[in-house]
Order: sequence, then C-alpha cells, then structure tokens
Amino acid sequence: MADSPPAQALSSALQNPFEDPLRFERRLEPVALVIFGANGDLTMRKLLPALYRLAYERRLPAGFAVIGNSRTSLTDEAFRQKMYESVKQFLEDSAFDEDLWVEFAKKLHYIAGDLNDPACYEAIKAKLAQVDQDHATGGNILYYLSTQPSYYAPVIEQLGAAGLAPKSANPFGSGYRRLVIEKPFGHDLDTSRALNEVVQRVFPEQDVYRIDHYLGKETVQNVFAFRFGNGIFEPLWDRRYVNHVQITAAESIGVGGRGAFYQETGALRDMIQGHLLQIMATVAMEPSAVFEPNAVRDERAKLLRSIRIMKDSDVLENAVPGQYGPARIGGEEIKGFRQEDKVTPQAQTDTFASATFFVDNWRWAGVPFYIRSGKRLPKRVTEIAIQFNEAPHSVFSGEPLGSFGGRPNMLILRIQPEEGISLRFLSKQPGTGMRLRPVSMDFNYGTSFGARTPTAYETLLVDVMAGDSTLYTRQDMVEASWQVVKPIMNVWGNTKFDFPNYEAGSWGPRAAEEMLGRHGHQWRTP
Amino acid sequence: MATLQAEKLLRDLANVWEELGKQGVEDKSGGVLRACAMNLLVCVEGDVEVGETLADLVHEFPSRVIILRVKKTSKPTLEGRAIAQCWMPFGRRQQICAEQIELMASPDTLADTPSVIRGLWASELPVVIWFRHAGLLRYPEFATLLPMAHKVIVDSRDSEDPEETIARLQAMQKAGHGVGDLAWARITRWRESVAQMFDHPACAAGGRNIQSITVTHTSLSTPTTSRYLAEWVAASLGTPVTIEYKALSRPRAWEIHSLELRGEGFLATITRKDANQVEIRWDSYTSALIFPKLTTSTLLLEEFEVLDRDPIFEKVLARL
Repeated sequence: MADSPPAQALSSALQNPFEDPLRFERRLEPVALVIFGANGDLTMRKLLPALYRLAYERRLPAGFAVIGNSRTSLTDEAFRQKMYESVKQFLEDSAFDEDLWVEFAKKLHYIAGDLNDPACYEAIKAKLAQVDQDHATGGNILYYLSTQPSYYAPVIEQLGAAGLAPKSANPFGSGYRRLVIEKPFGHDLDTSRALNEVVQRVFPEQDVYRIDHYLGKETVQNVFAFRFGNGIFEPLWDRRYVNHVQITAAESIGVGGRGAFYQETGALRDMIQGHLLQIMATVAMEPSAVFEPNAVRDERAKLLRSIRIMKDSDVLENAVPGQYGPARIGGEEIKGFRQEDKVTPQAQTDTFASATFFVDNWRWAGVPFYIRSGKRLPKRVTEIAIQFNEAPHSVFSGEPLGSFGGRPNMLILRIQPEEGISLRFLSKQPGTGMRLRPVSMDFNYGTSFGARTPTAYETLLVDVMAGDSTLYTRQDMVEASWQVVKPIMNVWGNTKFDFPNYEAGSWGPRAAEEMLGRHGHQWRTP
Repeated sequence: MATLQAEKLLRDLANVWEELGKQGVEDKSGGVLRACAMNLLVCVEGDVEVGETLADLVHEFPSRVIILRVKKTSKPTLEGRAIAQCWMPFGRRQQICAEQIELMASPDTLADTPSVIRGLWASELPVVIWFRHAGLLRYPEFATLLPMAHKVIVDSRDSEDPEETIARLQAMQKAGHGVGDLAWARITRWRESVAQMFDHPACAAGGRNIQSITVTHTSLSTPTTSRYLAEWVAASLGTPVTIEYKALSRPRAWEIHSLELRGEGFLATITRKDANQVEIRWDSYTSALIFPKLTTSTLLLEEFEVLDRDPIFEKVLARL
C-alpha cells in the first residue's frame, strides 16, 4: 500500500533527524558554484539576482560559495560591488535586503583569467580548495558556462585537463561535479554533435545540465500538473478532440544592441529550435509512468523524434520566415531590422519564424501544430492555444457564432505575462431566445496563488543543486530538435527572401496567415 | 431579539460584486477579478483590529474572510455586513477583490452564529479558523464549527494562559481536528537552521553522539516557543533537553537566545546575535544567517501552506 502523505513526511524525516519536509524548503547539499563569464549580461541580469533571491528565501545551502571568472581583472571586493549593483537593478518582483546582502556577499569570490590558459584553472582549483575550507562546501562543485558559446568546448577540455571534472580524481574528497551549459547547444546539428563529443569526454551525461530557461517557467511546469494531475483533460488530449494547436512566443522589442549576434542566429534557431519545440513536446508528450527526470525526458524526447521532418520541397509551404521593417508605433519611429546597429543592410535574418509541424504518432496523427515567434510584434506574450473540434452536431445551427465559427472551444495556457489558463466555451446570452455567446473561464496564477512566482533561473538553479534534471534538456532531445529544423534552415539558407516582409508592430508576414489558411485555420490574436 | 440570515449577507455580497462590475464598465477598467481560494473564519474579541493582517493575507491567499467579532454589549447584538477587499496588482489594469463578511455578536447571541456561518462558506474550498484570541476557545458555541475546519489556528505565545491554550490544542488534536499554533511557526527558521547544519556530513557525523542539549531563552517565564524547540530537538534525537533562562545585559525583543548541542569532541551552537541575525558554529566553521522579520500574517501564511495534518508538529505538541 502506498504511504499516505504524513507517513511519507515522517519517512523522509528519518534521513536527517531534523528534517521537516512539510515546512522546510527542499534540502540542498553544500556546493561551490563556478561561473565562467561572471562579468557578462546573463550573470548580472539573471544568475546573481536568482542566487540572491534564493538566499533571501533561505533556499541556498549553508555551505555555499560562488567563484566568478572572466578575463577582466577584479578583486573579490570589486566583483562583489559589481554584483551588488546588478542584483539591486535586476532583482525581479522582490525586495532588496542590505543586511542579507552583507552575508551573501561574503560568499562571492572572483578569479580573473584567460579561459584558454591552463593557469586560470590552476587558480580556480586553488580558490576551490580555499572556499571548501572557508565555506564548508563539502567538495561539491557546479560549473556554469555563461560565456560565449565558442568557449564551451575549450573550458570543458581545460576542466578535464586540470583534474577538475568528474572523470578526474577529486582533490576535495567525494563531492559531485556538475556542468550547466546555456543554449545554444551548437549552431546546427553537426556543431551540436561536435560540442557533445567534447562534453562526453569529460563529463558523464548524468552530470550535464543543458539549460532551457523556458522549461523552468512555472507555467510551463504547470502544463504537467494540468495534464497529468487532472482526470478530465487528458481524455480530450488527442486527434479525436483537438483540431489544432498554436504556440506563440511574441516579443514587442527589437534586437536592440544584439544585432550582430542576432543576425547570425534568427528566430528559428533562437526560439523555435531552442525553446518552442521543447514546449510543444511538453504539451504533446505521453504521460510518463513516474515524475522522475529520465522518465519525463524520455517521453519528451520520444515526442520530438515523432515530429515529421519536412521534405525540402515542403518547406516553403509549411515554414514562413519574416523580417521586420520600419514603422511608426505610438508616435515613435521604429527602425527596421536592417537599420539596427551592427546589422548588414542586406541581412536575410529571420526575425520572425513560423512553421506547421505534424506529429506522426497515434495520438496526434493529422493534427497541425503551428508555431510562431518573432520580434517587434504587437506585444510580449507566450501562450499555447489548443483548439478543440466543433460539436458533432449543432442543435443551434441557426444561431450566429461570430468569428469563432463552429469551433468555440479553445483552451489557452498562458505562459507569460498574466500567467494562467482560460477555457472558452459558448453560453446562452441572457434574455429570450437561444442566442449563444462565447465566454471565458479564467484561472489566473496571480489571483489564485498570491505568492511570488520564482523566476525560471531560481527554479533551475535549485534543481541542478538538487541533482534534478527533469526540466533540463538532454542531448538526444537537442539533436532531435535540430533534426526538425534542419531542412527549414537549409531551404531558408538557400533562398533569397524579399525582406522586410512585415511592419514592426504587426503580427508578422501575410504568408504566415496564408500558411494556416491552407488548412482552414487562422492565427488567434493573443 | 437580534437575528441575522446568511442568505441576506450573501445577497449583500452579490450586490457588492454587481456594483463593482458596474463601476468597471463605467470607468472602462475591465471590472474586477473575484478571487477566492479558501474560507477563513477569524474570531476576535472586542474592538481589536485585524484589518492590516487580513489585507496582507488576502493578497497572498485570496479567501472569503468571515470576521466574527465577539463583543460585550448592553443588549443582545447579532449583526453583519459584506464588503470587498480590492487591490490593484502592480502592472495590471484590473483590480483583484476578495470578499469579506463581518459579523458582530455579543456573548449571549454567540450560540446563533454557527448556523449563520455554516451558510456563508464558499463551497468546495478549505475552511480555516483562526482564533485571534485563544481565550475564545472557552466558548462551547464554537464546538459545532470545529469539525468543519481543515485547520484551527491559535497563538499560544500571545494567549493569556499558554498552558490552557496548549491543553485545548492537545484536546482538539486528540479529537481528530487539524490544529496549528503560530508559536510553532515562529521557530521554523530555528528548526531549519538546525536541519541545515546537520545536512553537512561532517556535522552529521560529529552529532551522532549528542550527550547534552540546552535551549536558552530571555524571558523570565519559559515561552512556548522555547518549549516547542526543546521538545522537537529531544524528539528528533532522543536526548533530553535542558531549558535555561539567560539574563542579558539589556532587554531583547526575542525569546529564544541559543541552542547548544554537545557531544564528545563536538559542539554545535546557534546563537541569536541581534533581532534578525543568528550565528551558527560547529568545529571551526562559523556562518551567519539572517532570519526574516516575522509578522502575524507571515506566520499565518506558513500555516495555510500546511493544511493537511502536520505529523511533526502533532508529535511535539503531544509531548508538551
């Protein structure tokens, strides 16, 4: 017989005589976190604010230290001051406590060094020994690659050569060695495989955590709870009831100062391969037998492998790129992509990408999954919309149903902002006669759970410290998603598009609308 | 004869929502979002204000709040009104509102309130009763409401007679009711610090043979919080605990001063340094921790997070 929750709580409490799983946060082993690229944007905007917030919520282990590394010469004090300023500036939805900072800052250390120079790793090794002594980090080390992607392979190789990786003898006792890699995991399938070869030589797969911050978002995790925690939705979750699925990730901003980087990347690589296919897999995967890292990731990987790979001849019908042109929005003149800083005037970069995918399995055969993502769209929004089929026979056939046609039922999982879930259905309009009107039943995270939602990086940092890789991607998943976008990249790369093809502030090119129109569908306006 | 009907209060509540909806149409703000995740009955004595605490609570845990104010009056009184607590979340255009029903009863009409309150619960949602004044537990009229509650919360530390409050909690627990004590929530950070210390393998190894444990406090009478901490440590390790009074050179606002665990060649201490900071020491290791400022609302929120039975608390409560 399964243990009841109180019995489970008591049994877990036996591991540490003082444990109280109902009241205490998940216990984390002591650890030293080494951040490569500690002077960069990601560290300052996301990682340190997330770590500080975890300290604020007392979720960091008592034995904890950070060793930041970058090329810039800084003392520990200067590094702390820099992080102080960035945490204060970028802390999301949270108060800043000066007293707490004083204690937190004592755990921050810094080593300057060239990532290609073995001496840098010797210095890191010495610093690790020191923080292990001073902060009782228990010999556990977490490496975080927050550098430019071109440094990933050299850093991993140098860690191996310096005896700092799991496959080396551990100079600090019996701690773990884990590696967190930020996306992109390669620039295409081949470079992804090449990077993985380097990783696998030095770190075993179970110690590698490939971060996709979208999967760390509470609302993406809630897809699991919604689908597999309730009995009423999953029976409708297949080709018999679902007409099609739309996944939208829109940004209202342009490329800003990242023009040079973005010109080489584009929306297909940056968003669809990097994030949205993972979200699609979460929406469409089969339930795993248990909610454990590899069980969940196996199902997600299976789904990614079931996505039909487009033939080159089908690409232009089923995948539409776009690039924003100049426009005037709210009285402000907005530059087109080609006018942005460090962007070449003839750039063929896709600032918008949309595609129609099909999943070749029994559950989803014939159901289109439409995915779109773009910059300079009317607003920032990420959502999944599941359009259900019409009723098999309408007894209200004489009644007008407005723009919803005969398919009034739609489930919308809002990832950001206004996180929540809406279900649209028809209701009788008050008054005489049977007039129907679509209404929406809303669940809003903010109103049902007033508590602050942790940022994706807070969630993912706690998970990696706990050794939980459920929300991290695995190499087979990365390769499967590169396989899916490969033909699109090939065809788009060999086609000269007439860019720009959408105005900044619009919902993308007309061809993206036509793509859905061919299936009798239309993009919803979020 | 004072009378009050649940239906009338619910109608008043419906009117409140209708008015708010109309205002939303008039000012084109999109109306308000009605939020309710729980029923919370708050029992208070006299004119004591709980508005600020409830405002904090409903922001974090939107609830249908029923305030029952028990107040001595010259003639029998039983009256009620319905209002909405609204707030505008940062960056949103739509107000969020939680509903609040205020009842006032004199001791001689108290027996009539349970039937009204039963008609006011929002259906399908958990029920929590918070006795702001633990002395109200003496009224037998509440006995019929207790079985409907997922949890009954008191604060033994602030009660006039902590011994009696603990005894009532123990009796309710024995009767099968879910109970909570804000005094227990007050020591969560202390307990978590002890657990965190013992996560470290070296400390866990050193602490295997603890021979003596001492909790010190700064109040002349032993506070419930110290007793809870001592019994929890004793129950966890199976070692008796000594509770001692610690005279400080100047008065301090806190109660628990330190926890000391001593074994052969091993000493671990957690010592309060100031209102927010504690120092943890074992072997040559020292670190400082910041304890968050506790308010009634943060303590209640912790109790709301544990609506199921809490076996560790129940075990410690039974030992007091």
